[in-house]
Amino acid sequence: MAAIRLSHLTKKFGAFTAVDALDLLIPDKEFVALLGPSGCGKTTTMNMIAGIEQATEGQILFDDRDVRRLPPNQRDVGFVFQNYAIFTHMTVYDNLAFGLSVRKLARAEIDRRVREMAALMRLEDRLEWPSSKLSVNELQKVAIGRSAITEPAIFLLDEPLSNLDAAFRAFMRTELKHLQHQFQQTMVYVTHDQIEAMSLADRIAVMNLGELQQYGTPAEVYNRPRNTFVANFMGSPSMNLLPCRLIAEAGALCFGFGEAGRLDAGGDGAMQHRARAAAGAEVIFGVRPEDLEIAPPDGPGGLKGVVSFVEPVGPRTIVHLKLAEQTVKVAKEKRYKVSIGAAVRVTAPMAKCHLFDAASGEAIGLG
Amino acid sequence: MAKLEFIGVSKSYGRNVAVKDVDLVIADNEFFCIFGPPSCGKTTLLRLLLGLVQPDQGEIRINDQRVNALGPKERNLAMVFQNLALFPHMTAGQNLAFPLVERKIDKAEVARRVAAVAETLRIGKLLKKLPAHLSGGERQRVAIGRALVREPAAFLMDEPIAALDARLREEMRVELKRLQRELKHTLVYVTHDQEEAMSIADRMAILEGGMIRQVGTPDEIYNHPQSRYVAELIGSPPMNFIKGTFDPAARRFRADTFGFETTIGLSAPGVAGGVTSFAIRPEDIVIREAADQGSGVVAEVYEIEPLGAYAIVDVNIGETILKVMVPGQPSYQLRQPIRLDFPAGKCHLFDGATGALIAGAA
Repeated sequence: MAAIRLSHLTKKFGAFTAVDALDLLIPDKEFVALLGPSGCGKTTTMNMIAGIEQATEGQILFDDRDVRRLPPNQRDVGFVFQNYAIFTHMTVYDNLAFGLSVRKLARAEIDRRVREMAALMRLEDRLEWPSSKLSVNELQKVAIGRSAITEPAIFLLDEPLSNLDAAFRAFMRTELKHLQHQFQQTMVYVTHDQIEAMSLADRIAVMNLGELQQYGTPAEVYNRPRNTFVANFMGSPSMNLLPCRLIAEAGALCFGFGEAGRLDAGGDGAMQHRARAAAGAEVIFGVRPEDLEIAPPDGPGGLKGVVSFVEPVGPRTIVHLKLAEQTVKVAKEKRYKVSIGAAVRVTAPMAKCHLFDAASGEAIGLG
Repeated sequence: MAKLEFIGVSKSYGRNVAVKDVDLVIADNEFFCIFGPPSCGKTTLLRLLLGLVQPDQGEIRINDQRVNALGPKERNLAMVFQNLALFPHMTAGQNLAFPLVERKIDKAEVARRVAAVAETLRIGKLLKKLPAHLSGGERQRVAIGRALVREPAAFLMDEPIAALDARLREEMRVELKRLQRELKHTLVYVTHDQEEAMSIADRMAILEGGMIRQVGTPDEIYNHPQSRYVAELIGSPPMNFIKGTFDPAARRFRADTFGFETTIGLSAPGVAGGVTSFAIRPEDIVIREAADQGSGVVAEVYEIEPLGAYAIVDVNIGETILKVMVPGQPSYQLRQPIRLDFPAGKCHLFDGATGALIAGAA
């Protein structure tokens, strides 16, 4: 159990800056995801926490202890990697017991903890199996169990689910989250998959090109993205980001989308306020696919569009609409019926819409 | 333009059965996906179509003509491989011209066909660029263009975008679907990604161990799976299964591990009873207040996975864990008791031994 404090943490490889002055506080017992596309610096950050990589600048504190000079084996961290490093010539039992054996625990204690972990991971009937006979899914369960069993102060996981099939990934997500609630360990989880980060983490650090973009709870990051990178990265399908014109007419403000029409900012106080803050700037209007409504073409308000593509993706249907100059996606329930080529109108409740500065990409009026 | 047919096709490699008794008709102009887990026979089906391997049994037909004896070149099918495989040292234009130059077609004709394809695919401005300077979407267009210049009867694609990141894959599949509609070509598309198959296919076939399990539209496959195998393979989060016994006379299903009983509407009489699995999709389960009276079962919230647009609420009834998909951002507490309802029209019942469908959703 330990809080992790990264201050001004920087890693350079020659002229390339992999991680740039990162400040991050990971509270004790929290599950924090480092999320971003490849090359964002998430794995380098984790490697510095682990001690595999030396920081170029900055500080790493576990509680109040500076660990920068400590080798990995003295940091009391546990690891699970994408490629489960387990001993294939050993049984599942011996793999689980390994970390405890090297710590010279009493045999009865080892046995108790191995069986407890096996029960948690639902590996009871595999304990005597040679690891070489296990499926990919089971291997990863052993790898996670083997690391968790030593109860390290900090548990680091680098894309542990990315080699697993979809159904098992969904199952392991639940189990990992449950494990963390039971063990109360500080967990740092590296992933490029926003679904994993959203579903597992207490807090998400969204990174891009070595820089922290936003740090917050899943709800904060999803509902109040600080910039267009975060807005676009979180959610699937991603947020609709539409360049538009801010129009002031007779004291009322609205957003112009060329031939497709206008959306009135008037009704909602917060959006009025943001639109005023943006006066004069080029803006990008943001709205999530699930927040848009599709209406018949002949009503008042909204933007005119034509259905260009309908994707049934299982529990939901994603409808693509061609506006005059832009395309938007709308998420509807499964078996939603609409035909390609149909003329529709799309409306957006202002309370759920976002506004970004087109030049900087920063959210406007977020406070 | 091509109708593609497999009639009783089997293929083994030594003792390994790759494809077994496949009967399949892929209609002209259809976007057809072949979907299944690794080594289920997907790629072998493509190789059989292309003529790269010969079937041990059965017939392969293109436009009603038996083509078993024809070599790959005579079948006139175009293959787009995984990772798109463009020549990195050639410009987009040289890549496009390559299949024609290789066939020693005269220069003027090559130029004419490359220009025509470039216009269809709207890549005229990219012809002088090297693949390294193209975006993923542009590279895909060039790869398709290179297949298109040969004027093939149909396109075959083997996981053409599997190596790309999720966001780009989403864009590419929309683009691919649009292209297929415009080009009006039959397209056979192999993938192991169920969401990809669902989103782009007109129809799809699901394979298991070299055999076809089900063929249908994405809607049919998702909402009316004919076997437990298909039901499990399609859908994310996956379908929930509850083990129990079925009494066909009383039409009652009873769960094994907790108190849950329900009447199952049967479309056909005379089905076997015994060990069965009751199944329902996560988005079809309804969560109500624990105190509500009436149907359903009481469960506890086990974990919550918020995903923004919706949340997956994992609930447990004793040892059994079910996944429920709820729109928006619900605020349940861990271990909070709730009541689950399984609407009758959305439930499926599968035979415990064979996995065959006994009773399906409306």
